[in-house]
Amino acid sequence: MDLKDSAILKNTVGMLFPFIAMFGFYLTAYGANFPGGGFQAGVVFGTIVIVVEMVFGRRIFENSFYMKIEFLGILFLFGSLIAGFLLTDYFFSGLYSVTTSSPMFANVFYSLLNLAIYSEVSGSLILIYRSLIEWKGDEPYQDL
Amino acid sequence: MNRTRIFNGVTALVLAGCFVYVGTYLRGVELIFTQVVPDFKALAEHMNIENMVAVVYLGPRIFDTFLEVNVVVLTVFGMKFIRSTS
Repeated sequence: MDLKDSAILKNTVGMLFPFIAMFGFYLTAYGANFPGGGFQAGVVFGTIVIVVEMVFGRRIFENSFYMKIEFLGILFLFGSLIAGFLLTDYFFSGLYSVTTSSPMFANVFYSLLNLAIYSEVSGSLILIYRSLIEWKGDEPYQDL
Repeated sequence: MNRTRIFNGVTALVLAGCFVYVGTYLRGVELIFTQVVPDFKALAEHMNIENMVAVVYLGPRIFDTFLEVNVVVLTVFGMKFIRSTS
């Protein structure tokens, strides 16, 4: 029996998907105050998207969407690296002093960094899964 | 063949840049390669961050996270490269 034929899997994954996706956002948002962070959150979200695609047999978004969010994450990471180096001679430290009074988003730079890593990792995981699962060794090249 | 050369060249450039940086300009990196626990309180005051988790994450661990992310990015590019040459 194929994964797509199981009603139990479909119902279970369908019910769990919003909660697991929310848990990924939670890890991203509270990464500044508790152990956790963007990388783990990206893995959580990427994994649940992959599971949904396996069980339901259809794509939630196209590859171009994940390429875009991955590119945005990389852009912010390298931008912060260069900005930090130019401003303070330390990589990633240029925006440390930008703070707010909110306990959750006390450090703006850290929240943005978490968000960038989250989008980059989740997008990359999904792209890696798709390229591995769909690629046949003898097929002609198709861009991701 | 051109794509192979470009990919190899870019990878070699990134690696060479990392070695040059580590070998010549160690500011920030010395926080990682040390046997002594850094003074996180002073680090927190320098960074203007009150939460100690954030200080550890943004201080010594930021390079770890950044290189982890780079590994994932390189994997995507590697998959594209393998598919393009098969």
